[in-house]
Amino acid sequence: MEIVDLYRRLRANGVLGLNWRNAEYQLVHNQRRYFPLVDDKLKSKRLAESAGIAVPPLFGVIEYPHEVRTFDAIVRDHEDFVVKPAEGSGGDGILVVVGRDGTGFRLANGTVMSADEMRFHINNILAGTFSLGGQPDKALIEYRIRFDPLFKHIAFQGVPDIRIIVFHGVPVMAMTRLPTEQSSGKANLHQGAIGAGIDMTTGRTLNAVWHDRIITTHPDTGAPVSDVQIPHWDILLHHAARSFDLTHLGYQGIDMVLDSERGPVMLELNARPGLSIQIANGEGLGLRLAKVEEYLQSAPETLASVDSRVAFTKAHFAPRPAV
Amino acid sequence: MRNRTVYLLSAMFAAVGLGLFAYKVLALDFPLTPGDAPDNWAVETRVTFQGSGGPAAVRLFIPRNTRAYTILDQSFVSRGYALNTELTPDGRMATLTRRQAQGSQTVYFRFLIHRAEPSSALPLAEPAPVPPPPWKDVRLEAARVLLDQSRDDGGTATDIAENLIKKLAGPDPDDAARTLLGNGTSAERIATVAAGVLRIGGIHARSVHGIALVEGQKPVHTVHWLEIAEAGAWHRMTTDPAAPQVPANWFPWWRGTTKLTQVDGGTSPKVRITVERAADQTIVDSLSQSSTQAKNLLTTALATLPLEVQQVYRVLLVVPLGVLLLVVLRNVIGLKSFGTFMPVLIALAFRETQLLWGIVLFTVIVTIGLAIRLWMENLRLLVVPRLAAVLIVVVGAMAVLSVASAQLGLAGGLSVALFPMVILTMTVERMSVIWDERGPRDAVQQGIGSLIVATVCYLLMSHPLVEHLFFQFPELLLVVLAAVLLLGRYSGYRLTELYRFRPLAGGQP
Repeated sequence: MEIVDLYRRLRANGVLGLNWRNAEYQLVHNQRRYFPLVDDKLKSKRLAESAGIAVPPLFGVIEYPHEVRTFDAIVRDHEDFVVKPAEGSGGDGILVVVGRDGTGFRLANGTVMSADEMRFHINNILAGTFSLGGQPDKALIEYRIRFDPLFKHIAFQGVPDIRIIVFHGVPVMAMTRLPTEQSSGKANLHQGAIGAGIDMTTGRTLNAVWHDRIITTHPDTGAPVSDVQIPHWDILLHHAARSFDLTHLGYQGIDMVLDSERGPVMLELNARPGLSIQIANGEGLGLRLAKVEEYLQSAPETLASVDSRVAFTKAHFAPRPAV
Repeated sequence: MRNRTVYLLSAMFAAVGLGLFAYKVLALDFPLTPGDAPDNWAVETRVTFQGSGGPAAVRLFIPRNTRAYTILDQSFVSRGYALNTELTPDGRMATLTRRQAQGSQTVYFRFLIHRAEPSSALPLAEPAPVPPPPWKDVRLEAARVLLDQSRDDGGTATDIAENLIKKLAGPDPDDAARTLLGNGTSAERIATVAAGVLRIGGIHARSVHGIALVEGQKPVHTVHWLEIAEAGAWHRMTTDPAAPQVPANWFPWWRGTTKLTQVDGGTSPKVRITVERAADQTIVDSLSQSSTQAKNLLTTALATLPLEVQQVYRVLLVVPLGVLLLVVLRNVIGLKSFGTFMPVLIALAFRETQLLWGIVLFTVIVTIGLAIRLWMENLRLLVVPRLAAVLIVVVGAMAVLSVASAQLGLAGGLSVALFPMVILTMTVERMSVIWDERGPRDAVQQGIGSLIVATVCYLLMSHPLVEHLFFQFPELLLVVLAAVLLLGRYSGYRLTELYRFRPLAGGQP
């Protein structure tokens, strides 16, 4: 049976499925009471700030419909900014304003949005259109990332981000997501962004995956996407390792971007990080997670500090040689 | 540890469920398939009326045992009413009285019918003849004319009755027939008039009223026929000259010219009869022997509910199986659908509309709703009013579809009203958000996915065997629960993930 064989091979390679992730990691290592810390981007932003992790500066929060008229005052001194739902998921509802056009706003994808449309969008956010359970939400207005020039040739319009899966404070797997024309600037693999795995020991990109195909150059710019060094890799690893101390979530994802002025900036934490990162890395998560579990059982002291956890990552999670 | 508890619980539930199931099948002889059900029928009559504050009485006929039918376990559910029964020439009659009846009043009368092998011998005619009807002048004259015409060839009582029925029920009744029938040409009217005319002619005849023992009647109509005494036995005859043979499943309930129920001291009385094939022999036996036996409480619990409620549970009890299927489709196969239980609710609606119509109606309503919802985006409406507007559009679309299909003579379209409109509204809303954020492809894909899941659920849930098993053996719910618990700890791949992660399957297994 071909299917049974496929199933066995995936299991042997430690490829995590949704059921496996949920039953053995998310439900077991993540206590529900800590979820609000990551589900509400305002809370995780404040937590990160208090721990010395840089975040995009907050310009303002709109929580109630009657506050929508304060929007003009919030953005008066800012040419560009980002509007996002505090409890959004999958990047839904995020508006990236790159400049003004009369009274309107120029968005990252080139379109112009009137002030009226902007207020409507914020009202939609407040009403919960983009939030997880559809419950009322807050709108955050914050600094727009000016991404590192390094990424100019390998990202189309949007901001490329770096996602690291962290298991009990140990960074286990990472990828960078590069927007394409097709993903209309969004860093979402499902919508056509490129995912490139990252060598945990060096911070250089591995193969990149676009629509489940392995590619080496960016489809829009033609620039190579493999073997690119991610700047500030050590800082990124340290931020990731530290994030566990903030949220106490055993299994989480941390999304960071590289700002040209501020360096590594944390965008959000995720208690249910997706599994595409395995495809981008060409490797399953299961074996690495098992390795961490093994040390948690036998030698927890080796994973006690942020530095020791980063060292653990570099010692154990070199990419598996290609087969 | 966690898994062990789940396995233990599952094993326990499955063991109890299957054990009870086996006990009922092996020891109590519950039938496994719906076809095995014996010829038993549960009948329920519900009389409702508005009490006027004073004394009220409800009179209704109680059926009696006949050669072919045995009546079991009659019961009245009528709080505050006193019950009396008396024998009238037309049948046994129950009188329920109450000193003060205020507001809405409801009286239930239930019984079980056991149908034996149809006996060939005709029942004996009763000695006491019913007096002829008190017709006068024109009507008496009309009756005599009809009698003379029917007697032309001077045949037996049955021949005369046959001729008479032909005259009354024929396509073009003459003046005499019309005088007696008035405007009514219903079977009841014809049977009553024929019996009256025959009695005036000295022939012992009576009209009989009852119900047809057929499943799935909504509502149940009464049936009417004629009995004529000849040579000491009753002969039966329908009011349809083309098919004079009374069907074997017509159950005689009462006779004569009186209505089944009469209400004194109340206004706007309504009668509704429900007929259902009764569960099985064990239930009938246990009920007829002693309805208070504790031992049988477990096995007959559902059968003691009013029939109406039983019909609801026939549907409700298969829902868990649909939900189990949904869990499998989502967590083992990996199909995506809108809303967790939305497909099961759509599948329930399909039960009423039939599958093909259901799919057509769902598609049309969601398409209309989605088109209007996407256009509404331009209006910049706030979320709750926008949802309300979509709901109104959905209801409106349902009404328009019903009217249109009624005009076109398509009965299927009328059942659109049974679609759960809130579910449709939420489907439209979710679909439009996905449409905007992820593109039409994703939205349509998930919409079709939901429809496929709903169809599969419907096919499973509407299977007669499934319905029968879950209604007869509600303990199977425990088995479903056990399966759901087990699936709750299933950590294997979903079928769609095998495809998704295929590139990662390299290396030696």
